[in-house]
Amino acid sequence: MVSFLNQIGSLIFPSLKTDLPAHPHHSLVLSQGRERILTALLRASVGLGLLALLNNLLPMIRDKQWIALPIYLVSLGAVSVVAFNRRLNYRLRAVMFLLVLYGIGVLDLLNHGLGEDSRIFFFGFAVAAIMLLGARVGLVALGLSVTTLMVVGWQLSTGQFKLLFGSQLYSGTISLETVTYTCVNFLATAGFVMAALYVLLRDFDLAWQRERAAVNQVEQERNLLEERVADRTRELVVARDQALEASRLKTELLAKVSHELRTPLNVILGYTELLQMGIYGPLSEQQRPPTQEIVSSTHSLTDLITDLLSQAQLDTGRFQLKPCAFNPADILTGLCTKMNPAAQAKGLTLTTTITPDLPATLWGDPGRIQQILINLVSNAIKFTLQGKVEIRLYRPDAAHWVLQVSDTGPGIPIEAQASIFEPFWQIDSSMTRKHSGVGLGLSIVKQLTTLMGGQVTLTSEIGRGSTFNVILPFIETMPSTGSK
Amino acid sequence: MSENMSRSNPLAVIIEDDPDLAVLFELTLRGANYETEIIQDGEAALQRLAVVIPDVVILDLHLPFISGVDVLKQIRADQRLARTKVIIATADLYRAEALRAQADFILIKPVSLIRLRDLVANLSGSQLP
Repeated sequence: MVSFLNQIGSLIFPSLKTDLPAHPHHSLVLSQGRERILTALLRASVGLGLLALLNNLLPMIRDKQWIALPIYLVSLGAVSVVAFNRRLNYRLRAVMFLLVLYGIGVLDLLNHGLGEDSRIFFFGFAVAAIMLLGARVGLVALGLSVTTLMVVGWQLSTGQFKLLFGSQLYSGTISLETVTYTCVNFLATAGFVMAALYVLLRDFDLAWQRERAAVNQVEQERNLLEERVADRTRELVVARDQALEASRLKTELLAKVSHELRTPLNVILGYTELLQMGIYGPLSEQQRPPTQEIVSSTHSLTDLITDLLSQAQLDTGRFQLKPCAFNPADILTGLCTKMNPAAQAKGLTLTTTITPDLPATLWGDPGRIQQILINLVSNAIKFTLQGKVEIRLYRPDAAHWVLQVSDTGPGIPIEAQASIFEPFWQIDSSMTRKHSGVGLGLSIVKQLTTLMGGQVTLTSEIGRGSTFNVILPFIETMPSTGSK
Repeated sequence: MSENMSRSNPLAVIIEDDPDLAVLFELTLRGANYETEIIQDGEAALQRLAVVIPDVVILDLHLPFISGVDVLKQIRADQRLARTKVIIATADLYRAEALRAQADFILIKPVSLIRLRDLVANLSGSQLP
């Protein structure tokens, strides 16, 4: 039914256009505004029509104007349908409303002559037309109203036409002057109100257009800004990915280089040890210290390469712990074999203790634990001039175990104790010349310990020595994965 | 068997793909009065071990063709080689730890040759009359 009416509407009024501006946002909002006006007018008309019906019911019965009742009812029905059915096409609703106004105006005119009743309907017809369908339709409606008034008034003035129901008000004839005066009066009043309305509506349109344009510009700029931010973000992501890739390649290169460095170092170490063993004939007392120096330096170099590789892996987040069951006594034995010669060369004693409360097998990353011990012990040997370096493994409580390395060295000043764990730090630059190393050792110790869920503590007294405690969480040994 | 009978010194088979390191092991073992053979991959090692009965095997874990882990499995499954001592020499600490139960000794690279010499000297002392 609705679509049928809509189709009819568009068939009958195909060329009927509201002169709304072409701007899409504008026309949308303005047409919504006009639709609201239309709906309000229609609903008000339904109410007013009902009141008018009640008001005119008695005179109608009295005057036996039976034809007026169905006209009232049909008009009211038409207005009600277009008032409450929002699915109908806007133009169809508007035109139906205007037709009802015009029709009632004409009927009133034919019934009562040029009285105020009919003029009010024609006035409403013209004003509603300009508001609902624009200036052109408004002018047409005004012209139609005035023409109708003039034609009917002229007919009445000549006396050829009698009012339909023999109205109480205009039973007599009317002069052409009065008709002309009434029509001009109507034209002036309606024209003035319509012009005022038109200007108001146009100003509203212009203001709305400007506001819309401003909003659009802001929106455009915001979109532009968002696009730029998105572009920048994309660029940054690409740059970050490139940096990560470069960093990954660097770490890979470093890993390869370390392996390539380690292989010849092992060969140097091996042949020096063969010399020491006397495979190539007994060594003289004079030859022993330099061969030992070669062994110690090769060990230092190997350890440094290990630390550099670890630092690179830690920096790029590629460092991975490889925990397994291991034997701490084995680590200490290997460590002593490596470190003893350097300690003995300085006249230091290197002692190791494992307290009996520590199980023979522990769970952890033995390679990293060895690396921590090598760094702490080589530091201790490096800085201690006389006395001893002690390594002690113990279990202070059920949840922890501790690697303790203490020395009888010069001690670390209290103000330096916090910063010694920073990378590349040494007490002062003169230390670098006096002692070998790049200052990576303690930083690696701290990073590895943190990675293992532990912490490093330091107690030190100037002139008495230093004690480093690496406190690690005690983890129950898990079944070895590789063994049968 | 016959090859072993004719030998007065104990036999050490060095299974190691790094030739420099293999020579170092060889020199060390010879210094400890062992006869030595160098084998550079896992497949050749298994073929050779089917013929000879070494007193000591020095075994690298990362080998071409057949890994040291599989070679160790074969040795342990072979009754003939029940008295053969296996010393793992590897940089792969983690895999080595997993094999602790099957191997007699584990040496982590870089291997101290002095330690290796002491180890095999003890072995031959306890094994040979």
